[in-house]
Amino acid sequence: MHLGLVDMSSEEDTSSIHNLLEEHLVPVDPSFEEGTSTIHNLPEKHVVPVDTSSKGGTSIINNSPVSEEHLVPVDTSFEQDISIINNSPVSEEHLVLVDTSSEEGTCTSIINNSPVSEEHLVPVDTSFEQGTSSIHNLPEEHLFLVDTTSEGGTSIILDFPEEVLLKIFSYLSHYELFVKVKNVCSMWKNYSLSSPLWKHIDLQKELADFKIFLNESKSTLLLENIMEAISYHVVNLVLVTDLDWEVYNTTLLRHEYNDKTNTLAFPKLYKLEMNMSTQYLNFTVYEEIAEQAKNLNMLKVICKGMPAYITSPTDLCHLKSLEKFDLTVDIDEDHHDHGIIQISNDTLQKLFKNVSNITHFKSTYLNSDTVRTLLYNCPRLEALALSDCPDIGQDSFDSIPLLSNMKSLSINGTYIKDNDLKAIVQNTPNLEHLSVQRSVYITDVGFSFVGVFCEKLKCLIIEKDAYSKGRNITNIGIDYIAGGCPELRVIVAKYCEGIDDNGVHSLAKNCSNLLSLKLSGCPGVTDTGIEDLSNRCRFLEHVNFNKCVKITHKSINCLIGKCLWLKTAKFNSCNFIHNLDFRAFTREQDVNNMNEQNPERDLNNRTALNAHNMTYNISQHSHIRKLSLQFCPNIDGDSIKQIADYCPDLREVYLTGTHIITDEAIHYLLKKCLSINVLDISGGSRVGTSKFTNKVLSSVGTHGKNIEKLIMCKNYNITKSGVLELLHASQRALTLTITVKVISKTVEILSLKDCQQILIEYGCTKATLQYTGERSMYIGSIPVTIKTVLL
Amino acid sequence: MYKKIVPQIKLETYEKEVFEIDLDIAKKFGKLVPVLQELLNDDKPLTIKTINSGTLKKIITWCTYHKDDPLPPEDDDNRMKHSTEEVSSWDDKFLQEDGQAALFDLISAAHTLDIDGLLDVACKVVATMIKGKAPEEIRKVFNIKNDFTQQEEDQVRKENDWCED
Repeated sequence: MHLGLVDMSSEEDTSSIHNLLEEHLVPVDPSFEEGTSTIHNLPEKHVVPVDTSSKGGTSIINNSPVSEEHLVPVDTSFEQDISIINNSPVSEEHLVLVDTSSEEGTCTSIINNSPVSEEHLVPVDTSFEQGTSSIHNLPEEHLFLVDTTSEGGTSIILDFPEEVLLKIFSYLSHYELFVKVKNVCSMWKNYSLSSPLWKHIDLQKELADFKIFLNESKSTLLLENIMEAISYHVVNLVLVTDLDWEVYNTTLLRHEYNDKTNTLAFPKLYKLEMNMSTQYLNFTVYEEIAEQAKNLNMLKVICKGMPAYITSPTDLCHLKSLEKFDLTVDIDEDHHDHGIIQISNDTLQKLFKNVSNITHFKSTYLNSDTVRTLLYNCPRLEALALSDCPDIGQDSFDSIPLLSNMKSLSINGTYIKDNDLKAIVQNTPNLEHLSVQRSVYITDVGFSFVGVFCEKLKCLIIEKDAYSKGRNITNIGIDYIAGGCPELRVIVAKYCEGIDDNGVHSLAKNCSNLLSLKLSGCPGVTDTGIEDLSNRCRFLEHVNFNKCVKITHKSINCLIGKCLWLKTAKFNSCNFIHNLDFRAFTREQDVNNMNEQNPERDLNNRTALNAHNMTYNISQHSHIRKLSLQFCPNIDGDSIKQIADYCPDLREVYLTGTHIITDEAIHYLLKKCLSINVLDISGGSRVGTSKFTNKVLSSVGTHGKNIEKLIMCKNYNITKSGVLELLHASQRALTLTITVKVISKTVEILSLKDCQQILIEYGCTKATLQYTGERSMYIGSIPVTIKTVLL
Repeated sequence: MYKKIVPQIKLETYEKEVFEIDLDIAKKFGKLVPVLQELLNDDKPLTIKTINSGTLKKIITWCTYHKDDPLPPEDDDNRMKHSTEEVSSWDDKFLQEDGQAALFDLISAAHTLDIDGLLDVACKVVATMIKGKAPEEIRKVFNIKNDFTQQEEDQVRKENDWCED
């Protein structure tokens, strides 16, 4: 205990640390007297442990470099007092302030400090014991240079606390930091190289940044320099293989070989992400990076776009800390040919045998031996995702061990059969998430076992592709699941055409806590089923009934009117929807509001509520955020007005191809729903265009204060002058994205030149005009990308 | 006709001037909110000595202008995305109109009062002041003393030699 602050004053209630006279303070710190501490960037007054004297002066506690672990938290005053400690980065439990005082608890002084009378203040800092510690030698987390601004006085930038300065720096690019900020002064040099700023490195992004200022070879050189300086801090590294292969070799590995003392280039590396987008890659470099990263916890390899064929690393066993291993194939929809990451099954089997901590694993193209090795050797496994493994099928899961940690399992696009599914669910008693998409051989029999064994199941995804839709899952399977999994919250069964109203009935009956139900492309679902659903599942938040062609306005009326927690609803391509009318619900609620007790939504307790007896006591309107009624050609202006009146919280509204809605209806919608930030009023469908004219844009200009994205494709009655006028009127032009897709030459189109004009005249630094054609351009220093929209 | 009664809290600045602030504006004050709510029952103002009256006035103006802003997204990904967004022209003008010293005071105060939104935009404005400048220019703008030794200076020059295009 070197710092003893003793103050016997403070009789008054409102005493604050600042009101004290200097003589009351007795800073005791032998180390400071030796004069060896070199806190040289700070003005002297900041070094004094507690300087509460000067009126315009600075309070110190925060200024002294107190190391966290030495702080003793004792404060009994918090109940009575209004204390504020938020200002310092010292979290409450580390507070040095020992306060046993103030029973009266009337003092209300704030600051970097709590309302503590000074005699109780005992900052304890043992880190100074050696007396030679200098602020620069301390590890960063011990530095608390906080709020050195003088009271009421004028601050200068060097006085900012570290976290504020780092916040400022976080808005600068790595180029700015390394080339400019680092060379301003020694304090900034330290901060600009401090770890929070360099945790995430995405090499491709960095290089692209540098190339704005430097040529190719210098960019590479700079990247090398940066990596050399900060690789120690990197926690999350993203590599992309489009770049010159040599860059990686030199940049990432060179200094390791040159400098034998620095054997670990990435000692903190925790998460390594590799985005592959070229074919036939070599895994070696990654392997070498990974080799240095002894703490690597997550390895993610993503194949994007083109199918990738990657040669296998021979050995991954040194990744002792690996827990999450993700080999995702993320193929463009255009490429139906799936990519292959060919980490050989042998390598993986070896990995599983040596690294048994794996909790998450995701891959494609595994064979059943590898899967079995994984299941037998990694008992901590929580999540397993396999997709497109043609080798996995009949009997792959025979006599697998009990996997009591397994919570999430996806086996998509494999050939497993009913008895395989049985073997799986029998041994995963704690399964919460099950996904068996595109598994064409599973029938009602398999799903009956899910109902029998997976009591804790919360999420079930059994959707099929639009082109492989089928009827092997029917109401019978759904009935078993609904009966056996009372916890079920999410069901996605797109294109399972065997499911109709009866399936919906049994879900409604058994799973009253359902939050999300997606049954698009199940044409057997009709109003009867949905009415039952909305009467029983009052907590529904997300529904998707796209292409359920039989449903009419009755379904929407019920769902939006009765499920007051509904956030997202999609009814695309439901031709019979028209005449929406929510007035009935408003009236009904008016009556019930008489007994309204607690209008607050209590999400935590809601499961305790009895859904069946719940009255409409939540509020008088729907809280729906996102509504999609695309290609519902019978939606008219009146329906839109109903929506506007009843759904004031709407954020996103999609109305593509609803061609009888007029300008006036959208005007009304925008006037009522002030929060809308995404609006899609594109034309399309049979008629081709919409009725909207430039008037709709002037409504957006006046009322759409929050609109950030406006999508208008195929609106042939909207002209260039309308768009320019909107940009002129809109104060929010800065964040407005307008998507304009034009396919007809006869329409006056927004040309590249127009975009330029918009950007210059209206100073839209962020206006993105999505546009047909392949172009990108730079205007002055404002990079603007005209995104390519494939038609 | 009922006049809506808005609860108010009182803050006292460095100059001992007391401000009354509507609670729906003070709700921007991050971790301070619970404290302020308790203060509602109290007649005494809350003294914040590190903030001067001019700065507090500006803060009240800012909070009033932004009081209906949607809450920032909670998840980290969106936050990151948010952080790269440009400062609105109103904010930019508002923050810069009184000069650098006032802006820095505002930052300190926003930090003290835990007003995240204001701290974010103000830091962005400072970041834009740094952007595109050479180290020497940065020193000049912020009045920072070059404390590198000759040796370090040479090192910097050497490094930057190849950086200059």
